[in-house]
Amino acid sequence: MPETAVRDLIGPDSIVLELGSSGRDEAILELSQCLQRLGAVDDAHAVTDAALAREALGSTNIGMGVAIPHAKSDHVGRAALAFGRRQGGVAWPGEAVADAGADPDAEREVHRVDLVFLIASPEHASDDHLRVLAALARALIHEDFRTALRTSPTAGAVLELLERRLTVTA
Amino acid sequence: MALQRLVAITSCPTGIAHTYMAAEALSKAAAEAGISIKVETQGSIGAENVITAEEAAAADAVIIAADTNVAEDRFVGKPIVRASTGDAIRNAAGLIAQAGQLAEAAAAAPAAATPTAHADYLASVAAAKASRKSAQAGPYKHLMNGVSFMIPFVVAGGILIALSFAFGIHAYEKQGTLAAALFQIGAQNAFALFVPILAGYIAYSIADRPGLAPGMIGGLLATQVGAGFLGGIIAGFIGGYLALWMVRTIHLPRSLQGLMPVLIVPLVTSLVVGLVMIYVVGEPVKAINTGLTDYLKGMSSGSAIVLGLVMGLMMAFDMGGPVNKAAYTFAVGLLASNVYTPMAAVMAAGMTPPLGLALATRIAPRKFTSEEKEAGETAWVLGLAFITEGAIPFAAADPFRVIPSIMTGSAITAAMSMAFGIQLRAPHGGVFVLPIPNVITDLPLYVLTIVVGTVVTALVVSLLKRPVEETQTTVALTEPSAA
Repeated sequence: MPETAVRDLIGPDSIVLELGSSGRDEAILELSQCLQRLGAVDDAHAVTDAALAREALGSTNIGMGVAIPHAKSDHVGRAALAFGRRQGGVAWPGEAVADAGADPDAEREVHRVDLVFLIASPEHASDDHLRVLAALARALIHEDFRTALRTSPTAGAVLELLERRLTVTA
Repeated sequence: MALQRLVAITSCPTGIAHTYMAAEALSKAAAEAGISIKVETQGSIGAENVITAEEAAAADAVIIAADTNVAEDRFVGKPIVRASTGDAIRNAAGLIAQAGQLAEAAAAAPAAATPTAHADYLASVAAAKASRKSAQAGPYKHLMNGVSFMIPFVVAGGILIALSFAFGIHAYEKQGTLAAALFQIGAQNAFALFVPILAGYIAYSIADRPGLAPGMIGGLLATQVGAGFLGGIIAGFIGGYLALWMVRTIHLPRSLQGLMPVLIVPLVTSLVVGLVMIYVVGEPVKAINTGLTDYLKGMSSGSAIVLGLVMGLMMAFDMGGPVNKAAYTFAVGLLASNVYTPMAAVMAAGMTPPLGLALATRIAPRKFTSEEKEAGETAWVLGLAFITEGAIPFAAADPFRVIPSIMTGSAITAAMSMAFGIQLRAPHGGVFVLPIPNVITDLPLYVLTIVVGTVVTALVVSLLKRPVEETQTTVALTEPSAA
């Protein structure tokens, strides 16, 4: 049941409408701690380290104000998703973009995100969960989805949006 | 020619997010540009939305947005844009525009961009192989996966054993000699592994990683109880389907889920497969295996010729397809039981189709198009290398005349090889393994059987085929590459 798969991964308690952290590492830790409180991960610091190791391989700042850090670790008990927003943005080193170099404002924008999805997955995640994450990745490409994420007034509204958009039909 | 059809592959190291974002970005940008696109995602769920050989052939250009190595052999001769998934996410429209430019350049300068007839022919051989591979399904696919992992062990083992015999047929019996060492590597190790590897990778193909342990353990048991490669195939299928069933149906509480892959699945599957091999399958399959081996070893020359005819017909019938592979797998499997004559027959019969066709383009040039004549040059090499698929482009153009001809040649070759009792210890390699001492028992006679089959094939195909009306056929042949 796909609907349950979304609820399996994310709940109101792993949605942070205004992150306290303005830096990448702290934001990841903040979201990891949410997941630790929910029991999805047993060590928020270890999960943060895993996510940062992934960042070191290549930034998960995908542009468009979105970052999707992900951690694959033994410290993750079950696949889980945490979502955080921050109006003032979170500093997040991104990949250099050729046409942004000329414009310092654009260059700064490239290195800031306001939507963060932390994906925590155990070493062996089930296909159901991977499909939901794939659907999330696909949905983020669409501007209307990002706008809706930015403007949802409550955690409940975010959750409803995710359920509506990430339902996997295949 | 404007860009109309695109295919793309996306892939990233973790396979969780970027693969799919890149796919979505490309689909979206293509839809906005009014271009049809099919995006294959190679993520952690496995490959999805897989591009078929037909779709690859019909595409005007290919985009590969990947941070991992992606095999490109499906797209030989196509304009390819290579980029990272990040490029695709940030600038999908730009990649599509680039693909459009490449496709236009290819269309505008056909002389430069269209592959030569030689590359075209190799590409059509590769495409035929790829489309067969993607069409493989179910048990056959699993069996072929096992066979493909097994072959290197058989090649290494067979040739090393043959090399040990180069010191004299009993040289290996003397401890401490190089001959003994070679025999130890080849016979006692490489050959001891090949049935377990076959079984293990059949099971791996079915159930992924959980299948490997029960498959390999069952395969080793098969050799120990004397059930040979037949027992190995059975062990692979039992182990694979059992592991798959367990992984899919048993749901433990979350706290115990971590125990499934490391403890429960390997223990239970190996136990069940092991007991089944020892108490149920072992004895009857051993009887079948020994019966088959004894029969093949003590076969009268009449039966040998009949078996050779059948194997030869099978090898040429579908040129590398399931019927061909059935005969081939049979012969390779028998190497485990020290039966070497079918291997010789099967390899010879797999070489004569391309060789015979290559010869035919020389002796009856009027009956082949200029493309086929050029392809004939490459067919020599493919034939010598025992790549039967080299005959496919000829057979595809004129199946009802070409296939009976190559079946005739292959049947005669295989029957001769069986009648002479020629033994071959290497399962592949064509002429390139033959110079190694003792790989083949009677080299001159073996070369003779291959030459006879080649000549027969060439004569029959030259008789059956009609002279070509050059212009008409040329158009028909070049059309697909221009599309």
